[in-house]
Order: sequence, then C-alpha cells, then structure tokens
Amino acid sequence: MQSLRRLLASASFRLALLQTLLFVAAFAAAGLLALTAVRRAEHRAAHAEIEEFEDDITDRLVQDGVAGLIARSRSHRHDPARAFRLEDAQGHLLAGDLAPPPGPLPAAPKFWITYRAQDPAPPNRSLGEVMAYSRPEPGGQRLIVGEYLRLRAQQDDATLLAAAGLAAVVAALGMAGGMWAGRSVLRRVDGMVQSIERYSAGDRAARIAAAGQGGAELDELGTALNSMMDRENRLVEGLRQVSSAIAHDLRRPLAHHNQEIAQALAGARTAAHYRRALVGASARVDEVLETFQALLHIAELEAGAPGLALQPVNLDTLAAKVVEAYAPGAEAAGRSLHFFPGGGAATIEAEPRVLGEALANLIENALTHTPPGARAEVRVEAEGRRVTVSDDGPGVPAALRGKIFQRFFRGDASRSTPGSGLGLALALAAVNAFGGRLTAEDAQPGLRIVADFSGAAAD
Amino acid sequence: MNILIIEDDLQTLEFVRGGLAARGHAVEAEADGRAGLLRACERGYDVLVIDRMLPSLDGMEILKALRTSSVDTPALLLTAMGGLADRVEGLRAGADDYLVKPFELDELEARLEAIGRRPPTAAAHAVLRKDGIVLDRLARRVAVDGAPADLTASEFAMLEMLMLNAGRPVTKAMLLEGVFDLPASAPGPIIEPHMSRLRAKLVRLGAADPIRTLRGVGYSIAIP
Repeated sequence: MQSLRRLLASASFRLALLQTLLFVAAFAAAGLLALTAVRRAEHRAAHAEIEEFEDDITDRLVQDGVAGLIARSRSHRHDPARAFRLEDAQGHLLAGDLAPPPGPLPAAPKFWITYRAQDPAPPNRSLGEVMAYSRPEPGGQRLIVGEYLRLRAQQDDATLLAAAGLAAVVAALGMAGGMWAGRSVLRRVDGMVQSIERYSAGDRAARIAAAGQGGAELDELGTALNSMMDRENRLVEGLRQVSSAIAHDLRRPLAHHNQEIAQALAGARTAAHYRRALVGASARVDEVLETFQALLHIAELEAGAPGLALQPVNLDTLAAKVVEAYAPGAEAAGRSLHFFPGGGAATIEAEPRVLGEALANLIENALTHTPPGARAEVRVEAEGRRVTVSDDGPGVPAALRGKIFQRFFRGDASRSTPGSGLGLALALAAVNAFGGRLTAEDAQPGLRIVADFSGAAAD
Repeated sequence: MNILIIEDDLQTLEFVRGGLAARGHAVEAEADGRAGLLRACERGYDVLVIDRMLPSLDGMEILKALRTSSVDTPALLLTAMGGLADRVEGLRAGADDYLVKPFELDELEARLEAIGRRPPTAAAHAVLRKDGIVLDRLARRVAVDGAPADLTASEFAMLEMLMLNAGRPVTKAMLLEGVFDLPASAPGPIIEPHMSRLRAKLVRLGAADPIRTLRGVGYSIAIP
C-alpha cells in the first residue's frame, strides 16, 4: 500500500497521468467535432433521400392513382428506413405505413417535421425519430414522406462506442506505462538512495550504478554523485593520511624528547648534565615546531596565500641565487650542482622568497636522495617560464612518482635520509599558488621535477 | 639598549623582558596597543619590539602611526607562526625586521642589535676594515694586506654583513635572509659551507681568521 502510494505520488507517474488526461480530453473534443459534422451531413443526406423518395411516390400516384400506391405499399418494401402515408382530409390513412406524427400538424401547406414515432398498432412500441416532409394532395388529402432515423442513430452509437472504447484502452495503456516508468525510476532512485546511505554509513566504496533504468538524466545524476563521492574520498584519504603522518612524525621527536628528559632525571645531577639534556630537548621541540611551521606554510599556500605581495620574478636570477646558495654544500657532500640559465626575459608573478624556498626544496631533494658522486642540474627553459631540477640518482618508480608531493611521503629508499618529508609538498603548494604546475618525470636515470609556469596568466 | 616591548601575550612578554634584561638591556613593556603607541612616541627608545596581533590597536597600525608621525625608532615585528604575508606587509608598514614566533632569545637580540645600531648612512662606512682586511662596499672588492681576495658575491655579502655588525652576533637566519633572500626554513646546511670557504680564502691570503663561530647562534667579527 505504501509503495503504491509512493508510485502514485512519483513524478513520472504524475507526468504519465497528466499526459493521458490531456490525450483523452483532446480525443473527446475531436470526437465531438467529428460527431457534429457527421450528424449534419447525415441530416442533409436524409433530406435529399426523402425528397427523392417523395418524387418517386408522386410519380407512382400520378401514374397509378391511390390504388396503385396502396398496392405498392403492400407489395414490396425495398427500404425499411423510408416510408410514406397518404391521409384523407380527416387524417385517416389511405395508403402507406409511416407512423403518424403526434398531435396537430402545422397549418402550412408544405412543411418539414421531425418527430418521435410510435407504432399505431399495440403494443405501440417506439419507432424512434422520424424526419418527414408533408404536402397537400388534391381533394384535401395529405402525403407525408419520411425516414426512420433509428438506423443511422444505431450506426452513430456504434461508432461512438468504438471511439470511447479506443480512448479507454489508450488511457489504460498510458496509465500502465506511467506506472511502469514510475516504478523503474523509483527502483533506480531507491538504488541511489541505498548507495548514498551505505556511503554515509561509512562504506567508502559504495557507488551508484553508472547506467540503468530511468533514463539518461538519472545516469547523469548518478555519475555526478559518484564523482562527488570520489572527490570526497580523495579529500578524506588525504586528511587521514596527513593526520596519521602528523601523529607519527610528531611522536618520534616527542618520544626522543621524553627519553632525554627521563635520562637526564635518572643520570648525574650536575648543572652541566642538566644543561646538556635541556639543549637536546630544546632541539627536539624545535623539530616539532619546524614541522608545524612547514605544515602551516603549506596550508596557507594551498589557500592561495592571500595578502602575499607578488612581484615580477625572473627565474634565471632567482635560480642562480638559490643554486649559488646550495653549490658549496653540494660539493662538500660529494655531489655536484650545475645551473643552465635559459636567457629568457619572461618574468612570473611570485613572492621571490617563497618561490626561492620552493626551488631550494627541489634542489635539496635532488642532493639528499642521491648517492655521493651524483650530479644535479637546474635548468631554466621555455623562455624563462619553466625551471627543472634533475638528478642522475636512483629515481622514483613510476607508481610512486605522483605521491612524492604528498605531505610526509617518504619512499622506502629515503627512510634513512634526513628530512621532514614536507619539502616537496611545500614546493608543490608554492608553485601552485603562483599559477604553476609541478610534475615529476623519469630523467633516465634519476628524477626530474618540472615547475612549469607557462600556463600562468601573468608575464 | 633601551627597548620597548609591546606584546599582550604575558608568557612571551616575560620571556623576552627577563631574557633581555638579564643581558644588560633596559626593557620596558606595554600590553596594550594604544598605550604602547603613546609610550613609543613619548620617550626615546633605541629599538621597539611590536607584536603583530594586539588588542585595541594592531602591530601594523602602530607601525604606520609611528612612521607617519616621523618616529623613526627601529622596530622589529613579531608575527605568529604561519603568517606568511605578514613579513612583506610588516616591512611595508615600516618595520625594520620581523621574527616568527616562537624564536630564540639569541636570534631576537642579534636582530635588535643589528637594527638598533645601524650606521646612520651607508656612505659613512663605504670602506670597512678589520685588521688587514679592507672591504670596499662601493667597488664590491675585498683585499687582505693589499692583496685582492677572489670572493663570490655571496661570500662578499656575508663578510660585509659581519663587518657592518662588528662586535655583534649575526645569526644564520639573518645571513640566509640578507645574502640569499631565503627564509630561515630553507632546508639543508647552507651558510656553513659558504662560511668555511670565505674563511679559507681570507686565511690563504695571510689574514688571521677574523670570524668567530657562536655555537647555536651564528657568527661574529670583533670590533677592530
């Protein structure tokens, strides 16, 4: 009962119902028009036939007289619909068998009349409507020639009945179609609601069937909902990954911090001893604070760094300075760092110190995750709109290349190397904040990271 | 130095006031922005420490008000962690330096010393000297006992910064910002390798190493 009520209330059923009603109304209007036209035509046809019949009777009367007419009326009745009557001045029937019009006749000598006829012989059953023509004959006689319209009316009734039946069938089909469509849409919507409820209840894999009953618009709705759930999944996954990484990354220095305090408390109680412990503990706390600072920077940059003073930055100039900052350190660590300026005059709109730090992180990444003897290169290309940092180290497997920009991502090979795991995430956020794209490629061998600003609007 | 701190966070205030006082500075404090502005106008201080976020009048407003009323007392702006845009905004409003909380007392003192005792004009010190080392700021040249030293632009800039602040510590963060235009959060050891190259070049030309390493703080050059 509940489901029937839902079905009757569904939009598709209501639409079908409305369509059916409109169809029936239109059909009835058309039928009425047609019926009127047919009736008029029939009326004219009956008129013409009666006149023709009257001619025929008059001919017979002239040729054979009344007696001939009587003989004719008795002998053959070729057409059951048409009949005549010849009356004397007193209204007595002389010949013919047309049922008499009831009541007094009009005073005019010739007239058309339509009346309800009754069989004069008992049981006086109704003979239906009669259309008749009357004119006087010499000697006070009167001839009435008429047609029983009953047969025509019977035909009309049959036609009407057939039309009404047809309309009923069409209406029934329309309703059934509406119910079917309504049910299939409802079933699809029920499926969608179930998927969404499962998703809300925590089933992150729940998705709506991409195609099915109910039409293309429901497919579109399903696809849109699915992509919304996918996006939310990614965000939730990112949040989950970041929060667990934060917890993990902060636990390590805090645990060390705690250890150091415990050791200091358990060890020799000299001022120098305590001092050493405090210096160590302070360094651990600094580590945690630096991680927070970096996370906040990334979050700010991801929000588009509102209020940041942008200015035209020449990538050659900026990269040269950052490379110079890192070159001696690279050499001291047994790596080499090379710079190839692009010579382009283009500038990009950025905050130089933030962009400089982003590039610094890319260079530091190339220097840290490579073995001694490795070579790192910084190149400015595309007329000064792109800067690449590549190394000839072990590189990153293709499957992980998209993940290296995630916060706290650390490949298995780099677990032992120092670093917060936030450098590349910070670089990505900074490059994005200035309208650029940061991607990782295979440098064959090694890793190449490309910061491309050619899509950025500013120049 | 006479220092005025305008800071509403009592813990930071006590940390800074106590620390700087213990190092021999005369420190006064104000916890309210408006009161701080009045006091900064009334009395002559060597340097101001102003928090970015303050009740009644915010740090940026204080700086603007001071500079428009021609109070040129050097000022350092303290900004909260994550205030990425505060640095540029603060410098524009008239701050001479900025520092992100939390900070080391050494870092704060070094920066206050640097802005509080800036030479009146750069031209007056176009040539800086320390023992046999002569640094010509206009010609961008360094000579040791008359022999030219082949320094890179960044080595020159580091030596210049140390000599301008002779007798005072210069922190690694100050060198990173001043020489490489990189924030203190830039990864890796950057200053150390440059510093050892600079020292080696000076020593090779016969100079006694003028640069002292202050562990955990930075570097300094003694007053000639």
